[in-house]
Amino acid sequence: MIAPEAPRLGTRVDVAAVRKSYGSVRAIERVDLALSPASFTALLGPSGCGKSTLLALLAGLEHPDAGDIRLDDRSVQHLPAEDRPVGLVFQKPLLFPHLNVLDNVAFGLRMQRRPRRGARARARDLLEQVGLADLAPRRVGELSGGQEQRVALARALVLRPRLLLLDEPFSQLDPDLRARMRQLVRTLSAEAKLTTLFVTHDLAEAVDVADEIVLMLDGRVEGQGSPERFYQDPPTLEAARFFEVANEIAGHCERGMFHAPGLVAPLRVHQQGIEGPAVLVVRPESMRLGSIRDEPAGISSGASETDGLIVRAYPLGVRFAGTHLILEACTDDGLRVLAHLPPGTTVADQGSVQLRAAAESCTLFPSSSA
Amino acid sequence: MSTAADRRTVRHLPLALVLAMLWAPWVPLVLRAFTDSWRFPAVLPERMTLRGFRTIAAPDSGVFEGLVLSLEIGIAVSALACLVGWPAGRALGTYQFRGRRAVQALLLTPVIVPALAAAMGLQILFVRLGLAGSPPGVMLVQLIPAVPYATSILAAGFANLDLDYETQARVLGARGPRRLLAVTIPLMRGPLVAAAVMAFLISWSDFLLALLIGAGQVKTLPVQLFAAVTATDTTVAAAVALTMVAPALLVMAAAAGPLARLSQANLGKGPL
Repeated sequence: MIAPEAPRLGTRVDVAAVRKSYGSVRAIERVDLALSPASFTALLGPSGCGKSTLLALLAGLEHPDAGDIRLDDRSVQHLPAEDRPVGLVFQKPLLFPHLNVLDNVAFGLRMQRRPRRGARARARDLLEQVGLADLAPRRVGELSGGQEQRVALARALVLRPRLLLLDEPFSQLDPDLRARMRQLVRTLSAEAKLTTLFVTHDLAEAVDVADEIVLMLDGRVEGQGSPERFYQDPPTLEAARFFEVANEIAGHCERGMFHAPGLVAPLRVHQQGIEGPAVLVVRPESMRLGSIRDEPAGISSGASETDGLIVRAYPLGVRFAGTHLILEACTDDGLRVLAHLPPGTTVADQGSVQLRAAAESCTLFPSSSA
Repeated sequence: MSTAADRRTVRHLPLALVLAMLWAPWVPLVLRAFTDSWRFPAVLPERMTLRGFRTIAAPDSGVFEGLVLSLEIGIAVSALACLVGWPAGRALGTYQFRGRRAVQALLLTPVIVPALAAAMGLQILFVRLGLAGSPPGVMLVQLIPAVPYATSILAAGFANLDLDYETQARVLGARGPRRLLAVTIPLMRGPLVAAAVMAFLISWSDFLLALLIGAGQVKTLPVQLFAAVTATDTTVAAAVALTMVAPALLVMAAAAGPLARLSQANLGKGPL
């Protein structure tokens, strides 16, 4: 057992080469993961990607077929869920209906055979931290959804876990309440210097809550990094697609140049080692409307090279989206391109336009199919 | 012209009829227990008496001993039926397995086949084992109808139970036995009370099995009632009958709360 009152600077969590199958179904193909001490990480992925299985493995509710899980370089594999210094808040509050709010929060301490008075005093502190001190004597059936999850959070924190796991904890709440709950959980986690892993399938939620995002697809970690990095420099094409990169241009790389049918000119490749079939991705918000005057004289397809992406396309329509306009356009070759333009931009509805993007905002991935 | 009150009366009429059919036979029984002579032309009994209860209260009547014996056997049957029915009900209500429906159907056999049929076969075995004519023998044979009922009720309870509560308890450090006491049993309180009451009442009202396996030597209340009825003293017989009913009603009344919650839960109106 870890001394519960020990001062702490956060716990480092390592997941090394973990695999898990249920019969013939592979839930986790292979996961390597490192969470730095006191970090707040979102584990992002669609349903069925294995993120709940990973949480169960971390909590000790399941055992990996292979690999190791370490807290501060000490393996916790031998510890059953009851003994792991890990807190877990589920999607459902799962408050025990036969206990009142205070005794729900004190539950974990009572299971450690702490005296009732001390346990309740500590539980009261935690209820205060989540702002529900006055609800201590209530029956859990009288709480609202947000209050329930705050009690569940207090109940998990009362044991001073070293790792806090949150499994889509606010997905049953209103959007407005969710945002406030995310702030609360961030504050509590920071105050306790807790290493926190927040599971969600919601991209916006992950970006809003986390310092770092771990993207999981199909039982694998597809990438790990800051939210900004996933937007600006996605690690894989799948990651780029999950982060809603709307523009994908298929082409091929040859001697450092990217050629694709829709481009006005080949693009100089800044990334190393990409040859053959490739896909270029670029976010709609990186696209700018270029004027015809910007076009270098005498350019023709394949004749020259450019540092930025230039696409000649025919506008199909413009939609107002509040903070920006969405321009949908189509090249001669049938490639559809989306661009987010500043409000008030006028787009000629006759003829073609040029859409440009800086080279840094374009990312190339080798593709297996031509 | 019909008022709202009229309509309400019409709606409640069928329920009132059912209740009347259930309770009407008790009126003459109660009257009979307190009267001496009640012959044909008289609509109401002619003379009140406490003779029936005085006979029962007499130290040599054995009714008090029968009451205690019935209670003991009933409580033992109730406890054992729940003990056996708990893991069986959990398996049945929680896991999906091949033949689960068949097992559930088989659990209904005591409703279809009288336990007497099974007891007839067991009688010879119990005689050999020396269990015939002893309270433990009666208790064991009463488990034949009691266990399936308890198992069915507990299985329904487990089917409604969200097992994630147990997972949550594990993460909060609750190990096996403590988890059972602190979480699972409280969550299963309604079905558990229902199963216990059901098993107790099966034992309490059983006459045939007690007579057959008890061989007339295990004088539970129903066995005594049968003796009193055949002795043609209807005043004493009615008094014994009331003595038998009273504890059963008390048990039901005590369990009313959990039972009501259970039936609500089954209708999907609330948590267990």
